[in-house]
This record gives sequence, C-alpha cells and structure tokens, in this order.
Amino acid sequence: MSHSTPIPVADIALPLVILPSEGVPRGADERVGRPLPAVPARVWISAATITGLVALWWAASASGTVPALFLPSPQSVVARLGRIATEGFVDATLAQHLAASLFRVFAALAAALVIGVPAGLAIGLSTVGRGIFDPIVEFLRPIPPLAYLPLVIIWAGIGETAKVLVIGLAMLPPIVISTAAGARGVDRSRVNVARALGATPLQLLRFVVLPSALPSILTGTRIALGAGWSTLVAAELVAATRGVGFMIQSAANFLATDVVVAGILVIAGVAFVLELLVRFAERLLVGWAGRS
Amino acid sequence: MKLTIFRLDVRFPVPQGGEATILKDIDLAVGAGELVVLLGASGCGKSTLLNAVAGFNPPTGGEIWVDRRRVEGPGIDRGVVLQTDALYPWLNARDNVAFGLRLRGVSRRERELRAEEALALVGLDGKGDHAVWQLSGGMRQRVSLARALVADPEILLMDEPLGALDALTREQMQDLVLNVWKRTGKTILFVTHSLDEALYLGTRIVVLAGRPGRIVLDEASTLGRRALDEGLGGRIKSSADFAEAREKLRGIIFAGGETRAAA
Repeated sequence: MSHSTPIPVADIALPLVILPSEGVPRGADERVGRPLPAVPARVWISAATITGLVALWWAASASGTVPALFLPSPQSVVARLGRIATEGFVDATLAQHLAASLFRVFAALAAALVIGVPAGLAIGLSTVGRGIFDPIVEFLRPIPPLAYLPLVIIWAGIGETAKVLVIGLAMLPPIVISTAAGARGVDRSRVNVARALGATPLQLLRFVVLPSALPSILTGTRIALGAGWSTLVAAELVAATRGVGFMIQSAANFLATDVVVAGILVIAGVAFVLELLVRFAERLLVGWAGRS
Repeated sequence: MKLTIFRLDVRFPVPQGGEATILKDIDLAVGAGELVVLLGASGCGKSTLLNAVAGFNPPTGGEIWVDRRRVEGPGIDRGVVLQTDALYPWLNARDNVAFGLRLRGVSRRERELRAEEALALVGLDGKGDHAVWQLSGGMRQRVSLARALVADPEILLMDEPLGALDALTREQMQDLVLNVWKRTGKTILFVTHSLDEALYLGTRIVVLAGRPGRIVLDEASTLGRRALDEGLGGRIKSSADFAEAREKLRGIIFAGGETRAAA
C-alpha cells in the first residue's frame, strides 16, 4: 500500500482504551456473539500507574507535606468540580465554559479543514501548488502560537475571531502536511485505471485522490485537534469571559488552586474524548485502510 | 483493423540528462477479436507499449489508432487490467465494477444491474457486497477484469494481469480469460513474460526484444485454440507440440536480445 498508515499516536497516549486495531467492517454480522477481547496486560499496568499517582497525590496532601494552596487534595478537587458544574465559576457553569471552548476549537477545525485540505491537495498534486504553499506552511509550522498571538490580536481585535484564528493557525500545518502526503502517495495504477474509465480531472480528485488521501487527512485532523486544544488556553488568556482556559487563568488570579487542577483535569478529559471521536470516525470512514 | 500502431517511438528523459529510447519503429496491426500476446523479457518495453496504447504516456513519435480514432490520451474505448489489481478499497466489489458507469452518470439501478452481470461473467456472482480486502488475489483480478468489461471497451489491455498470482490460481485465471474472450469476442492485447501463458492464450504472439525494444517475432498461434476445440484445456501444456513451440519461442526471445546487444 502506498498511502501512509496513520501514526499510532493514540496507541501511546491512550493505554486505557481497547479498540481492536483492525476495526470492524460496517454492518458485519460477525459482531454478534463474539466474545469480548481479553483486557491486555498493559491496560492493567497503566491502570495501576494512574492509581499509584493519585494515591501519591492523596498522601502528599493528606499528610500536610504539601499545603493545600499548592496542592489541594483529590477529594477537594472533585468536590470543587461538582460545584463548578452546578453553581459555576466566574459567572458561568462548567458546561458553559466547555461549550465556549469547544465552539472555538471546532470553528477553528472547520476553518483549518476548509483551507488546509485544498492547500494540501495543491502541494501534493502540483509543482506550482507546492511552490506556492510549501514555504508558507514551513514558515508557520515551527512558530509557537503564543508568539503570533499579539499580532493576531492587533489585527483581529480581542473578540472571538482572534481566538478562533490563533487556534486555527495552530491546526493548519498538520492538516496541510498530512493531506499533501496523502495526495502524493496516491497509487499511480488507481489513477490510471480511472483515467481509462473516462474520469475527468475533477472526477479523479473527487473519486480517487480524496478517498485515497482520507486516512492521512484524518491522521492530520487528529494531530490538529491535539495542537488546537493545547493552544486553547493561550487563546483564552486575553479578554475572554468564558472558556476552560479562561477559567483556569482567572482561578490562578484568586489562587483557587482546586479550580486550576479541576480545569486541567477537564482539559485532559475532553482531549481524551476528542481522540476517541476521531478514532471512531477513522473506523467508520476508512476501516479499509491498511488492509488491502 | 481494430488497432493500428504506426512507427511508434517512445523515449523517456533520464535523470542523468538526455533520453532513453524504450521503443523504436514499432508497427503492429490488430484485427477485431484477436487475442494478441505481447511477450518479452523484463525491460524490453512491452508494458511501455501497452501504456502507450492505453494513452497513459503519449508516444514521442508515430501514431496509434483505434478503429478510425487517433489515440490522444486514455479513453473508454480501451479498458485496462493491470498487474496490481488497483481496486478502490473504499468501495465494495460491485461498486468497484460499477465505477466507470458512475463516472458517466449512469443511474444507480442500471449500474448495479450491469455490475452484477459483469461479476457473473467473471464467476463472482453474489460476491458484489464483499469488501475488497475480503477477496483473494485471484478474485480481485476478476473484479478488476469485470470493472474493465462493464465499460464495454473496444479493446482490452491487460498488463501482466496474472503475474502476481500463485501458479494454480494463474492456470484457472488463464481459462477465465479465454472464456471471457470467447463469450465477449473482445479484442485483447495481453502482456506477459510467461512462455506457457503466451502459447496457451494467444491467437497471435508478438515477441519484443532488445534495447530499444523492437518486434522480433509476430506469428499466429493455434495451440490455445486446439486446447479449446479438443477440450484439452491446460493439459495441452504437457503435449509434445506445446513443448516444441515453447523451446522455439524461448530461442527467439534470447537470440533477439543477443543480436541487439552485439549490434
């Protein structure tokens, strides 16, 4: 197979999730009556590691070794999380903070896909496209989002646009680069067969190149979601009134360490769920990848 | 003539600069319903010739005509089956076969009907719903053949279609190709480097040899037809006539290469 196999980021990052690496064919009836896969040893090891870390955290705060101002106890963080969810923190409930953050990330993702996929296809398929877009991507890629945040604020103001823009800029390079790699890797024979069947250039793009590149595009989306989510806090530093990043930021001003820790846990949890969503999309859309 | 190749030259630029001549002065005329086997050692240009007829790489010199139309690029009058099945793994077998019809905007109902017909022709009735990765190598090549047939091309271009299959599957597929050829009456240009395959399938054998490649033999072959008519099938391959023809062919292929090298 010539198309690139997805980078197994999640395999390292998500030891707790067991998904059969082969996926499940859509509508397959073999699903019925199949025994659940045994829990692999590494999952037990990971579970033990996490339990151990939480125990250490609990011991450190319960014994008074570390003052609550620096490290609140696990129970107080959980209790605080409950109160943020019901009563809210700085004029918004947890759900409202989360909704604001998720809106920014998904608006940025949509924009990055709308711009990044065509740009990636241009890089992968044409010398001219590559000449135009490659330097832009290579310029943008290594810059940390915090470095261009001030410029984006000067240009786009302190409203919602600036935040979406910063997150989108962080998401763009992985999507462009992975789309380009996918488009470049399209099997020559597949293209030729379609041409012999009378495909126009546009049909080649729509029916051969795009589906061939889709596994790569989804891998890029997965990486982009990670990049965007981690840019979120930076984007919400300035003039935000809602958002998980903003919540953490303002909690730090009040030295409300339990809120800070609770916010960090929420960010990690959401990232985990997003990762699962992309993997689910991969199984649904490109279950064929790596099998033929 | 179904296919006319007139003084075809194919040259490719090489990385070191300059050009490499792959084919020089190829003349070939193929009549309707012929099954012409292009035979030759690796690198003699037989795939290049097929790709030129398919329109994938334009000839550097000379002309190719199909019926009364000059070949300027790929077209639906020439169906291709390649060594790698080149199926679309995101489509099931039926949608792969119907791919060409979909490109032409044929209605879903009609294209599924015609795809099923084509699948039945290659012995895959009822396998339409299978995913590509659920099919064996031989079955995939059958799907690939059905995909080319469903577009109803004037000529079928087959570039070592059985080269990647195991020996037993290959024999079965040779019979399938003969069967399809007999039932559809298509004109077929079949590239192979197997002597047995050439003698068993071809109504005519064209041997390419040398660098640049040129035609060193072009003659009718009757062994495959005899196998069909007398009901011998693959058993003819162990007959004395077949062995003799094979040795003669082998001699021509290797001698063709040597005279060019010496020249």
